[in-house]
Amino acid sequence: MAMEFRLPDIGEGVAEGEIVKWLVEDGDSVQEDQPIVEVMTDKATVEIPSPVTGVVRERKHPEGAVVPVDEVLVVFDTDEGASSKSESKSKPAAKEAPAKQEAPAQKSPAPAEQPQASGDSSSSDGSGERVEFKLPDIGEGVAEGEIVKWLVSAGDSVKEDQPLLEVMTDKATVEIPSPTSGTIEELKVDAGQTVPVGGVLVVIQSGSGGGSAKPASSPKASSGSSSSSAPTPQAAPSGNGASQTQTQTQTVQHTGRILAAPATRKLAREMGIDLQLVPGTGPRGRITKDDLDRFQRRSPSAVGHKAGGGAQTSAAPARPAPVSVAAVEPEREERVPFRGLRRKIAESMTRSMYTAVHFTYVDEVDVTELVEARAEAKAFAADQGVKLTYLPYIVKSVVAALKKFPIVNTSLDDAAGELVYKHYYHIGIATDTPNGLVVPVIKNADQKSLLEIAGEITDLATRARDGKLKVEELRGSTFTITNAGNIGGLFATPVINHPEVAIMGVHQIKERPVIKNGEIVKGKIMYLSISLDHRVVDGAVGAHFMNEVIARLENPGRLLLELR
Amino acid sequence: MGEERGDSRDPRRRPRQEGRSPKGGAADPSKGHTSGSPSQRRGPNVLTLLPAPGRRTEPFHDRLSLGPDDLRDLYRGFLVARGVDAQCSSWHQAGRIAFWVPSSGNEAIDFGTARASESADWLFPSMRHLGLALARGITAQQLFDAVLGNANDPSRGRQLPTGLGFLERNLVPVSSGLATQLVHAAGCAAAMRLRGERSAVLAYCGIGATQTSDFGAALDVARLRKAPVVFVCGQNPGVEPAKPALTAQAQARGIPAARVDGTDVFAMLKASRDALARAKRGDGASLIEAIRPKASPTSNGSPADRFDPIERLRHYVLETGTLKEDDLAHVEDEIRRELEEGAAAALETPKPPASSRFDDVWSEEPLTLTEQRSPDAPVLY
Amino acid sequence: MSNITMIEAVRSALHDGLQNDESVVVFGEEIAEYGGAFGVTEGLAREFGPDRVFDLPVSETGLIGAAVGMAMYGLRPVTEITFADDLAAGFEQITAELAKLRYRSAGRLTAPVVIRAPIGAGVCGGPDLSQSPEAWFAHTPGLQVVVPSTAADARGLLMSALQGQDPVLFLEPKALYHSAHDEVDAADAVPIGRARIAREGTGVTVITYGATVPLCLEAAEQAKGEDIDVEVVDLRTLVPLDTETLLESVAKTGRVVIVHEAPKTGGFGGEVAAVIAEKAIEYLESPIVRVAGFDTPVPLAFEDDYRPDVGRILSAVSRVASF
Repeated sequence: MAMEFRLPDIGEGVAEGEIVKWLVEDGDSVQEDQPIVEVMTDKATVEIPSPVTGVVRERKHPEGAVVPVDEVLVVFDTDEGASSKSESKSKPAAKEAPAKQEAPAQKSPAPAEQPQASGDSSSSDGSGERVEFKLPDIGEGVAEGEIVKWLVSAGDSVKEDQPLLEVMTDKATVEIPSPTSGTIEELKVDAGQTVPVGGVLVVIQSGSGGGSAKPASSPKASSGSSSSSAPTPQAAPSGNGASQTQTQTQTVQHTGRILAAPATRKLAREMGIDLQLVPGTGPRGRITKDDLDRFQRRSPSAVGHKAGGGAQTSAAPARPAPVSVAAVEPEREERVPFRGLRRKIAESMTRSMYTAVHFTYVDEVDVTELVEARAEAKAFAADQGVKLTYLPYIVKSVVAALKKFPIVNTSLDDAAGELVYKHYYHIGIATDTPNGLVVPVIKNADQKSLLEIAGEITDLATRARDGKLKVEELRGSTFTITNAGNIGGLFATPVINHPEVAIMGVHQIKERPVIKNGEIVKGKIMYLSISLDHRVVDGAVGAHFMNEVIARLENPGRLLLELR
Repeated sequence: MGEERGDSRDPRRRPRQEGRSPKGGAADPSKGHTSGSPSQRRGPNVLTLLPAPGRRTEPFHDRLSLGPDDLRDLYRGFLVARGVDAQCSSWHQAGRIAFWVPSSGNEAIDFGTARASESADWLFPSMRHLGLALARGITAQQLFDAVLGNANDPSRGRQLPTGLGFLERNLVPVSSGLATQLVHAAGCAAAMRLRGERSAVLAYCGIGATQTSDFGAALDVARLRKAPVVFVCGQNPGVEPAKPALTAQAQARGIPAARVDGTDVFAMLKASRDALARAKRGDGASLIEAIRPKASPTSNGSPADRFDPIERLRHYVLETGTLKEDDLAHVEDEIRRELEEGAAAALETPKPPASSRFDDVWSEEPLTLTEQRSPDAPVLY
Repeated sequence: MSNITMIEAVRSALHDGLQNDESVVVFGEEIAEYGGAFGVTEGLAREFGPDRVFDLPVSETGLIGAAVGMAMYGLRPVTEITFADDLAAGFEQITAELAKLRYRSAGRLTAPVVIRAPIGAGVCGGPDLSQSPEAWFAHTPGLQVVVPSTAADARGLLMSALQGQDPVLFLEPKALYHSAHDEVDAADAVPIGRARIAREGTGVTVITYGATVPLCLEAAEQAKGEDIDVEVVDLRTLVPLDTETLLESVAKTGRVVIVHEAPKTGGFGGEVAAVIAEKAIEYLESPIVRVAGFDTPVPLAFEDDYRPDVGRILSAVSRVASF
């Protein structure tokens, strides 16, 4: 049988991937877990393994195509045994992709304990039927849902079609209406839990409200025929009149008009988001402002250019409209698609420049002692198989300074209006690669020795150049260092690795005349620059921070004193 | 003469003149209401002073404090009024103006009442009384400007062609409500009285308007506030006199009333003077029912069978020798030129500036209206 | 001035108008000796005499027509129409004469007439004496339409009306005649054309005027229980409409409920909704919802059900808030 394999969600925040290379061709036989395609995301290039054993019937996209998550990548012909295994599309398919697919805590009652059919009921007393209401199949391909909120409690009277709870699936958040009138006997799952389709949500004692099941309202959730008398509606919660009964279904596929409030449409325009692409989670599939935020986080590349003007609630800043460049001498020009890592870099740089208010502070460091210290340690490190550069010293100095000035180790959550202080020190190292700039991260740099850091830098840099970094190795930095020292120049003004609030530029060490004790002597001088987000960090703080870094680099012995 | 040529602009154009005139003699204007043979066919107690066409009379205009020049002026004004009306009817027939209700036949009412008033007295006309403006010194050209609604129109092109008003002459703009202006007149007169001023108000309507609730309300307000107002109800062409008699209706509401020959400028002048004097004395409102006597006892009452005020006056001045045919011919030539030039000038005057149509709705223009001035005004808040 | 009712507030404004401006005259049907159907003008005739405060015949066309004529001659007439329903009997004088006087005279005649009329249900007036016909007049260029909801506003707005140059339909919600009472500052004129934020909030804007203002305030209090922060805008003046204030509020909340007692279809709420839709659609998070009287005459036995009540208002507020 045919089995469609969709581009899996290979990591938080990844919305699409570019097909770098197909590793199989149509008609090829594949084994489960055999790599079939290389996909490059904004985080990394990953090999995606086949979820099944079978035959490649059709590859749906050519190399170079950019494919959104959830879009069909390839169609397999499988034998029966393999197919059943691969049907749940929520199952992470890319083994190699370091996706954050924490298996949702399946605390819901085990299906085996439950009657299989939705809405099975059994009489527990003479007054009505006991209805076990199960999570209905609320949309194509939805296998489970997270309980967002209960709208009723045990003991409550409910009417047929009255919303019972909100359930969030990977498609949308929906309100699930009661299949019958009656009294809530027991809530079987708590808010926050994830329940598979068919898992029992609630037990309702039907009848006291005289509810008669309405088959149309919830095809798989109706309680079957009820012998109760005609409905006499219980008092609805004040103010929640009948208007909410239509919220059961939700459109995932947009057919015809897109539903969105005018304010949402305006925001989408400003964010440069095509509403066609945004899954709506509101009633009847209406797109909400939250959906836009979610979409922007998950699909930054699908977010185009704003027309300008400040959205009131948007964390996204204004960006200039796209500018087209007319061909001047077309025959002597070449047009190359601007995509992949290059485009990711462009987007993140743009976001940074249009979000953070950059200011750059530059000072010089007399690293004469550091040069000596490093020269001494270099051989020792080499014995350990580690190439010791100046960078580990800078990393440690920065971490020490960050501890003194925690404000520099923050992120600004504009949408929430909160400043996020990080009590961990993940230092990003901006690294040049043939494809462009990537920023591997040294996690918990405060807990690592100079040597460990040196080793890690070497490893990360090597794998970065080979394109072999894992997504998780590229995420989570709290402060970034960019090293331009091996190329030249006096100093640069680095662009902050948003949403961090600072980045330090490290520059070439040169012999320069310095005045020491009234005499001009030769000194080893290095320029350090730091760009800070002035929204968060003021100039004086930046200068003090820099002084802390300089003090250590000029007296590397201090780093020893701070060893733990 | 003009009427033989049938020129539509002929200032003396009028309903076809009837044949034989009833007999009648000169009345003594000092006697007030008259009865007896001359007025028998005009109904009982109809004040009539001028002789019917064809009847002999001695001059008596001096008893009304009118000299030969006054009579020439009256004759001249009648002809201008008739000429303006003819011109406007012609414009209406030609489609140049959208609406017209003729004033012909009301010249004696207009000039008789207006000449009885002082300039501080306010006039509240209805349609069919363009002669009032002329009697108050407005020129034919000014009337044409107003009728055409051009840049010189005091209403700035907003009013119907019949919605004439010249506030600089205390002539209130006409609305199309049949009798709404009568209540305004009563209120205005009440205000005059409250302010202690010796002025009065003249208010005009047709017989039909007396059937409205406004008519009754106006009389009631006037009576209760002892308002110095004179209601002048003209019998329009084709309309029979009110039944029950208007005088009876007014008197039932406590308003004294007189029936007056509305084609007889002397009678209208006399009755108006009496009524205005009474009002200014503080004795309150009164009403004049201006009827249009039938020309012949055998006629069936069609408009053409009624007396014509211009003929009545013309007959008197010629019969008494106050004015000569040559004098009248001279007047006719003079006013023909005035009408032609006035009409031409009014036609050449452009419309008022378009933006002015948004003016004068409220004392301060609301934002909502300001936005409507410019179709390109920004829509969004 | 101490704590007074709306009736006393209106009377005090009339009193001060008569005292301070000799061109002010007050008249109506049995408003002199008798003091009017609701006793608003009680005592004024005694104090100011029959030239200033007097009765006219039982004819609305007479009252309003006379007011127009008086105003032409420089008086400031204030006429009381016993019930706003009776304005129908003076409709032509209001809409064809009073409202158009300035326009047809190209600004040379003004009619600073104040027509006072009690509106709305609440005193068992049924189909004939409980109507809220403000929309008839809001639709007529040249008039100002004012509906106070507090004693202080009743006094302050009437003072402004007595100083303005335009005709004012001053519609007094009779349900509030006795129930609305405020500390009223004698000096405070309230400008016509300025809405009032009766209650500040950020979640939902409730736009209303007249008798429904206190109901909306009560609903706003109750909405706190649903965690909805309601802003109540009291329009106070329908014409000229303070679009600035209401749009500012809508821009803040993005959610709008419009409440009035008059029938829904063709009611003034439709105009408010249209202004918002036209000018502030980009701010809207939810549909504009109207809570209004029903499209029926006011049924005597069900007058209280006819009027929007706190429950209906609250229901609309939560629907809009949870949209």
